[in-house]
Amino acid sequence: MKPIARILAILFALFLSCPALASERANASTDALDAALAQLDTGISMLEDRQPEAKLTIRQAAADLEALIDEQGLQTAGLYHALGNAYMLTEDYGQAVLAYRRGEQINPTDPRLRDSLRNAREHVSIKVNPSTTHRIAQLLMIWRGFVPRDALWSMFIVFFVVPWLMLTARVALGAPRWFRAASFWLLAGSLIPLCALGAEWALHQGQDQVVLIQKDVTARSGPDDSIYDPVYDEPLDAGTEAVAHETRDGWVRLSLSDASVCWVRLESVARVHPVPSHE
Amino acid sequence: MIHASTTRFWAWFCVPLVLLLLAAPLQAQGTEDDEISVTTEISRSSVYVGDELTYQVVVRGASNPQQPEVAFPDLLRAQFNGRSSQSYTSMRIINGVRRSVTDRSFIFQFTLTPMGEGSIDIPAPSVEINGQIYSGDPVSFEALLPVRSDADEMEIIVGRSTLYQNETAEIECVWWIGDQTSEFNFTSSAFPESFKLTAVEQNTSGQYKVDFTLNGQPMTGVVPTQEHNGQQMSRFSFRIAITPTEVGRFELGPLRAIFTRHSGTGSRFRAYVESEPVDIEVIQVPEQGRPANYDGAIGQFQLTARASNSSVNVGDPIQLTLRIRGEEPMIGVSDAPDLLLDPAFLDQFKVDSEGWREVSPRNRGMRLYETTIRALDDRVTQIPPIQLPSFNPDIGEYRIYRSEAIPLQVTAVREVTLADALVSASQDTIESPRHRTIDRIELTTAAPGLWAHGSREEILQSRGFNLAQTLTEPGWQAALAVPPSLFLCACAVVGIRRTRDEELHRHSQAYRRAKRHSGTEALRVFLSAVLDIDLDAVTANDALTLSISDELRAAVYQRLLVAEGGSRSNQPEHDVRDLLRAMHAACLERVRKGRS
Repeated sequence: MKPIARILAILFALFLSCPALASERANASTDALDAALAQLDTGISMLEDRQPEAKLTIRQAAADLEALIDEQGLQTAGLYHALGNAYMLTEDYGQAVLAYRRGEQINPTDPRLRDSLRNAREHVSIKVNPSTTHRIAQLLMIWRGFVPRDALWSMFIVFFVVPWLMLTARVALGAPRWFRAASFWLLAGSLIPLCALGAEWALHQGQDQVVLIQKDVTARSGPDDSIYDPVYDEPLDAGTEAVAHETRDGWVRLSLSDASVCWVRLESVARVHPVPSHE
Repeated sequence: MIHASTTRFWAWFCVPLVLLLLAAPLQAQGTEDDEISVTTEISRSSVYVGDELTYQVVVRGASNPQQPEVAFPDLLRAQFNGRSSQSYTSMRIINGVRRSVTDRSFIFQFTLTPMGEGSIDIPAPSVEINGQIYSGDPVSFEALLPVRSDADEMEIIVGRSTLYQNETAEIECVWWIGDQTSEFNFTSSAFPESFKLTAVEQNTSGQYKVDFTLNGQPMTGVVPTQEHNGQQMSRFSFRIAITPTEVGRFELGPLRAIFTRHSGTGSRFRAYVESEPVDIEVIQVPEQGRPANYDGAIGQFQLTARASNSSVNVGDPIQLTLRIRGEEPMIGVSDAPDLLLDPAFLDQFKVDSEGWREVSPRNRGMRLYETTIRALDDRVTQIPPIQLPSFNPDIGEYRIYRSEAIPLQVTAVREVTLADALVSASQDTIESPRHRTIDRIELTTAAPGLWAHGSREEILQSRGFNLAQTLTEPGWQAALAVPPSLFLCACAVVGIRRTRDEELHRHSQAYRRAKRHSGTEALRVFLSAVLDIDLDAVTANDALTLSISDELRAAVYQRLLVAEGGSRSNQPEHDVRDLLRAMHAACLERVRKGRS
């Protein structure tokens, strides 16, 4: 066989094997998911039977689900919901809030996920009274739990594409004059879903939001245990939510929803969006 | 040798030094202990019953003493007002050395109100400082009753002398005021400890009202003027609700008011008036006819239930809210009815083992409770009425108050809800009973609000939407870029075509130039450019040379003719614009037709 023919044969074989490999990977993900969910169900049954190893089994299921997310990149709202439930059952409320928050960022319109998050938050002993700014931001985002983001995006695309086509038709084909006025109105209308999406992104996905995953974290006024005083009378509980602004020497500066600012150790928080937006 | 002598030196030097250092705190402690003193002070040696006096315990020499313990006699009502401290710095000569010494004293202040007359002894207070008890001196004072006023009268009006335990009944207290009065109090009035007193709101509109406190509660009384014993007197009255919490015979009263009387001569003196005590018998509610789940409620109630969901899956949490309205203080309603005792709920629902949670803060005459229930079966069609058995003292019978049933649609699911597996600390004491009538799953205690995750298929969908990610995807970028690009291309093509076609270009230029003018000048500019004649030479007749429709041509001609005649046209500006636009379109049409 000539060398060129050989190379072509190898390339052809590789081309044929690519879909097969992808399919195999997908099957492996599904199998791993099935196994993790089965282990979670086993843990739940053991919990029902009050077996002492129940929580251990559920923790293992949680670890498997985490591995699925980290290694297979399977990031769905449903998977984070299952992970949050597993942590709730093991009474790790910090990780539960974190998992629910991650799921809620993916699909904020899932009412079950929202309720589960609310329930997990109720187990956090620290109640932070939101500041006026935070309340206004929450009020502006009131649509978030009801209007799907992809619906808003579709609306924007329609409102954006159609007027340009109308303008094109007007210029090139001599379409009626009202095409132009209608186009301007539609373009102006397209700003509404775009602004809503942009604001939502800026307030949620665009911020470096974190959740405290360790219990009794002493928040300080600066990045050092020995120099700076505690900011609050009580330590912060696992599950407390905040926004990270700066990291320095293994510490991270947070602002809570009441607009108070403090520093905690970096290892005591986990990011809602695993890929940090800045560091 | 040198080494041995050095060791001896250090031994001789260090041992006394260490001993001195060890002894120093002990000495200091001893010095501090020697200086600690506890003294007591009282503001008055005699006081009228119901009036207040101040009692102070002063601790000197201690750094941070605790509140002194004082065994006040029953005849006194004592209220702790808090701690204050004072510091004095003075110069002293200690062991021949002049030093500045700061003495600090802590003052613990109490306000005392004698409830009865006689000599009242307050035993010595004790304070624990550094594990040692220090005592002050006992003090005593005389509690006196002022002169009894014959001009005043007081009475307690009770509807019934026999009350049921936990029943709430209203009483009216009336004081016929003999003369000008001020600075009154009812603090020395006697009420049984087992009676709970609640102020009754009454309509005081249009009446002179007086605010005061009784038994530590704010009250409001009204003072109309009425005839009493043949003369006009001020009638000071107020209503209170009494709720006896223990069974037995009790004496209610006497209700006593101590006040300052202003006599006609301008002098002032303290006096008192008191009512006759009233005998009250408190009995238990009858056993006959008592419902099995009766929990002590007395009176009339209104129950309203609300559910968070009207359509759920089996096992999904339903937030159930119950509002109970009744007459304060609602002592018999310490909690909402236990749903675990209600078979209608047990057969159909898994009830939160933690029971009801009361929603704070309380509103007057209302209690709000929440709990979580989960439907056990898809055959459940409603949340049954919640029942509250209560004894109605007015009719002497038990009655059951109910909320309305709430319709519910329950859908079957394949799996057990995850939250059913939650186990709380109370799992060892509470067991979910098994019922044969229903194919139920063994459930343990549950927490509210945790929803089961979805199936595998549900988990694998819903990857979510991310604006930032979407905007970086080439497909979406193309979708956003193509339509404006298309438009720009179309503009460019049309522009180029017009530029290359001289006549078309001239028409377009003419129209663009004409648009910058208003009125008939715009028409003239257009004609000048299209016909390629000088602007000043344009006349109405030139319009007739245009190859456009007769109607349009006539309209332009008329318009220009009027302008040439020097008269102003009545036609509005937008008509001229429309005319210009129509003329331009017609000219372009003609050019295009000519091309084709």
